[in-house]
Amino acid sequence: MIQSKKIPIVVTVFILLSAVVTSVHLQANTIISGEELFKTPYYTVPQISPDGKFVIGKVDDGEKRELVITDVNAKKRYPVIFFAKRNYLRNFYWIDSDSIYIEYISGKKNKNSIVNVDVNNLAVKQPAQQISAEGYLLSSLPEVENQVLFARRLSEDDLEIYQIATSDLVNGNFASAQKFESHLKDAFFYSYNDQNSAFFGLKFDKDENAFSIWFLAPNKKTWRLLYDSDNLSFQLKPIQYLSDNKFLVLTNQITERMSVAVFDLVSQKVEKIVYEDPKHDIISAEADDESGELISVTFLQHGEQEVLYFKQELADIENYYMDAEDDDPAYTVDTSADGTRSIVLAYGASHPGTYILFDEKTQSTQLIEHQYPSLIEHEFAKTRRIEMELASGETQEGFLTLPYLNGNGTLLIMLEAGSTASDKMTEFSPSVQYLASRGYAILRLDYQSPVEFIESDTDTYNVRMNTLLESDINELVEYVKQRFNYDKACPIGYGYGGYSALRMSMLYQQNYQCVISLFGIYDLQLLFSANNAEALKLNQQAIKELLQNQNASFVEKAPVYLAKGFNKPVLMVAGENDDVAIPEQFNRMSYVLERQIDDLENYIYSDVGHGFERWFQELQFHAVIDDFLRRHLSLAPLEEISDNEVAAEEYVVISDMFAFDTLTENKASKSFEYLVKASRLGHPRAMFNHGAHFHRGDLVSRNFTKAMELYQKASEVGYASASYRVAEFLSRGTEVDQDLPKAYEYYLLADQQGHDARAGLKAARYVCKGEVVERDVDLCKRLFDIKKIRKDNLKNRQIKVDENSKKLWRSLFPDLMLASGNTTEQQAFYKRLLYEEFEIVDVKAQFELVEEGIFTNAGLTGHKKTTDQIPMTPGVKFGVRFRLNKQADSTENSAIIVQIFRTTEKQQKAVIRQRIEQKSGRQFRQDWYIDKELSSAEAVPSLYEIQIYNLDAELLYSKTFNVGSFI
Amino acid sequence: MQSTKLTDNLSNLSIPNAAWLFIGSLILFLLSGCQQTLNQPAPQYVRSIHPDNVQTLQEGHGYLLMAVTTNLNIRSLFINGPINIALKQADLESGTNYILVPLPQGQYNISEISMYFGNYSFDKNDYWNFEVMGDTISYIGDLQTEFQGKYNTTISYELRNRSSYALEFLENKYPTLLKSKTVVYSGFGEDRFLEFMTQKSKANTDSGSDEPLEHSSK
Repeated sequence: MIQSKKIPIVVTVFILLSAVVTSVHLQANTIISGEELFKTPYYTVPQISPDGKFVIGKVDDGEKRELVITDVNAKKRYPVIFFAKRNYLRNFYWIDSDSIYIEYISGKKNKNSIVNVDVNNLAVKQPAQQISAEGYLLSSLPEVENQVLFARRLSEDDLEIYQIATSDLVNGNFASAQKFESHLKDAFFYSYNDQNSAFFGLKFDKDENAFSIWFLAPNKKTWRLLYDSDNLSFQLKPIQYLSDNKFLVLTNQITERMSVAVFDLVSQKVEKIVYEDPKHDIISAEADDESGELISVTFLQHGEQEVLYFKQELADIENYYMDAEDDDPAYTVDTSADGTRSIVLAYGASHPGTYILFDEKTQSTQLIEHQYPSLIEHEFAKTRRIEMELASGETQEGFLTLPYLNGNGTLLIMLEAGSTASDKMTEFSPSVQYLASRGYAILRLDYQSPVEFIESDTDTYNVRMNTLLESDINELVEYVKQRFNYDKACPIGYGYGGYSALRMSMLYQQNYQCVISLFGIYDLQLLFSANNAEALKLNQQAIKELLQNQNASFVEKAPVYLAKGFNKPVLMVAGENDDVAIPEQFNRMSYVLERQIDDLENYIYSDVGHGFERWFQELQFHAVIDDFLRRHLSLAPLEEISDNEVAAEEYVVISDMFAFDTLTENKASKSFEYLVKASRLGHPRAMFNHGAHFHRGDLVSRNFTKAMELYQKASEVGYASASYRVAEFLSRGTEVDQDLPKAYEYYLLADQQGHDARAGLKAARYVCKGEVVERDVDLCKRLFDIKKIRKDNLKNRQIKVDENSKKLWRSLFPDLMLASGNTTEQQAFYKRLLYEEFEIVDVKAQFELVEEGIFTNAGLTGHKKTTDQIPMTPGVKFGVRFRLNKQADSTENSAIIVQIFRTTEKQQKAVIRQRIEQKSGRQFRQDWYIDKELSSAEAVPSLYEIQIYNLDAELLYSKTFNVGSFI
Repeated sequence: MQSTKLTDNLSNLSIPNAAWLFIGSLILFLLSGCQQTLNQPAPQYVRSIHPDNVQTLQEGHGYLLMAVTTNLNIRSLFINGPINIALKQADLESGTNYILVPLPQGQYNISEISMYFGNYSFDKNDYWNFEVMGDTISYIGDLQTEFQGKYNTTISYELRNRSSYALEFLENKYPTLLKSKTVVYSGFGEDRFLEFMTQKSKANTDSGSDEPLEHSSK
């Protein structure tokens, strides 16, 4: 996907580069909110056009996602294509300097498009043309102008490869395309290396339920078998041909997740793991063809693709760079065809990433975009490497991030299996920065998992127990605590790190004040006995020997069996669907700790596997971690070190975690506890929900006065739902005294605050009629024009028009149309809306009565008696049948307005039905029928008056029916 | 999870043939159920013991503890060993059912699930074997079954080790029995959690702190 070429670097260039990067770092001693940190980067995966004039990149602002193109020379940016929420962008890249290939999933379908970029007129919408042929692009063939390599799918397991002109591909014209002859029989998937022109092919044998992976080496004509297996329990995906026998692959064969590895053809084994991410499956990778060094890996971060770059082309100036105020390494992301222009990513442990264009010819740099523009005003904590010689003579390395403000004397030790030393120095970690900005120091280690699956063959694993390193880690922790004067320490473990975090705290209880474990493994025995399907994958003989040799110590080593005498606060979280740290691991540890310690906080997330799958879950649980630490280590509450807004937001986030089925167990009272905290700090939604608790009497005594106070406070700080609710109370006058002018103001306020269209529509009812407030035709038109509101919402996401809004809008129509004093402008406005929404036109017609009185059935044939005296019998139907004779022979739709009033002894005349009745043009001449059927409750002496109006509010018919001889 | 289809290989056949094969398969499975009853001693129908009706265990007997989690009511579950037993629907309803039954000690295997629309035989291999130990509660795992497909004819099944949940079940429902018996994991693989926990718990009990006080004869 990404072209990388070595570019000569001149030191002076990086003075410029450094200036670009450092200029965005402002000092701002404030806590960074979790919302700013735990989110998808705003700008990612930029790629430069072959001619170096344009950069295309993905923008995601949380609401909308789009591809944008930057005109490098003009320094301007233009949108190229929007992606709706249901569409998932898989891939995009330049085919040539004026066309971009885009691959995305819409619903469940894979779609390919080509955008032909009008480079002379980027301000206009660039048309995307869908590729009609089934298949996918194998390569943009950078060396061949206007030609691509396309895998055309003829059937499920029949693919053909073509070199085809871009224009022919768009038109589905394969006649002139060049078919690749050395195809792999029955292949259902191909991939291709641009770097060395090697092919990979995948075959699946349905009968044997086995797949095989084949390769076609550069300049060869015979496909060779790379790997076959009838065991589908693990995956192996070839990425790159490195040499005759070596391949870069993605596999989960011997690691917890899909990792980048070198696979050896001869031994048929994974030779070494090149990159393993502790939290993500790698979905793609690229290595240097000559050196084999990793250039980049791609993984899914909470549903979106993210790329990590490794190729430090700028290494020769890194010393200079490191000495500068910003010590971020920089990576080449993409290079123009002639190698003179490159996109460089300046990114590091304390820098969330900035894409810069470097022009070698002019020796200049230009900012393209920050990955997180909203973070540029923040200062980030720096990470330093520390090393110490242990008592054993071994050297232990650690990476320490110290807080730059709010230091609270607490050291957190992060244990994540699979993470490497370089990760800690080079990767921007939202988690580390979140905690550091709240005053914690974070110590990370090159942590080795306590158990490894090794020496795999086709269908089994062997297992190796690593010497546990808790004593070494503890020694380093003690050193750091003394050296930097920390009096409190808590380990945070992730996966196997949870095992070590708990174990270390149990073994060295006096050194740790609490433990946090996420998705932890606590009893290694369970790896071999979790179920009788998983266990099949393991080499049973090897495990038996292992257990026989190490049985006693093996069991004793696990935290589940070490808890005796342990009593420190523990926070644990698990995923309901975790198939690595299965729920039994969590429950087993919880079972032991519940009987042993005073403070256990343990939660299982619903619909979560081995790790959080959404950003908000990360945010949520980090807020929980901070809160847990503050409570148990007697640290200052968050609101004392941050502004109330940040603290309140995080309390709400915690409150939400305990509600809304986020956890398998709903903890309503806990949720309420945090809601109250947030409410007291003035959080708008929290105050509203707090009010709702008083309103309902839920977890507190019912108290409408308090509810109203909180609703009003929430309204004052801009919470639209609160304003709407207050308006409703004032409008209906049951909970509080009716005050329609005030209700109008609150409806209007709710509308301004972004409530759905109902608030504006209800305000429109007053302002259009001019009853409660002065008539304002302009405002009336703005509030009631639902089509415009909907259109504006699509564009700017201002006021949502949902089904309830539409229903309300329809119900308000007759009332507004029949209001006295409507201006001509208003009448025309209402008619226009009717036409826009229902294609109803104002057809002039003459009313002709057919029948009125009692009817046996609804419809045209059931007339029983012409009368206005109706018996007081439940089920009796009365009404009117009539015709409307159009003046012209129009086939257009038209409508009438119907109102029915009722008067009883207890209730004065009131509208009980008010609606627009419409008919299509063809049905217009047929009989119309308006009726009322008495229910049991309505079978009392009463008067019913039916009124029928045309769209000019002219009364066509009026009739009063006397039920039960009311008069 | 492993899965078995009643209608294996149907996808390549035309619909009428597939229908015939489906019926054939059904009959075959039903016959296999009959065959079992012809060649082996007829199973004894047993029910999970009620918490209020725990009786003294006979010499040479132990308890089998398992759970069955299913998305459909299961008609019967057959287990073969020193005696052949069958659990019935009352203990195998949709949801999770814990089952505790006294059995002669010895080697057993889960052999078959019977539904109203067909029978499913388990492979005769180690994965479905277990031992009931004398004077002990042998927990063999949670049998998780899920019936899928248009006619529920595909079944996925596995035996999951959920020892800690089983222990909590025993503590809630059979606290007295738990005090007097050791609980061991007897399912696939090796796991000493239950042994460790119940021995520890019994060691605490042996201190006498939980012994009931005697009432005055008056």
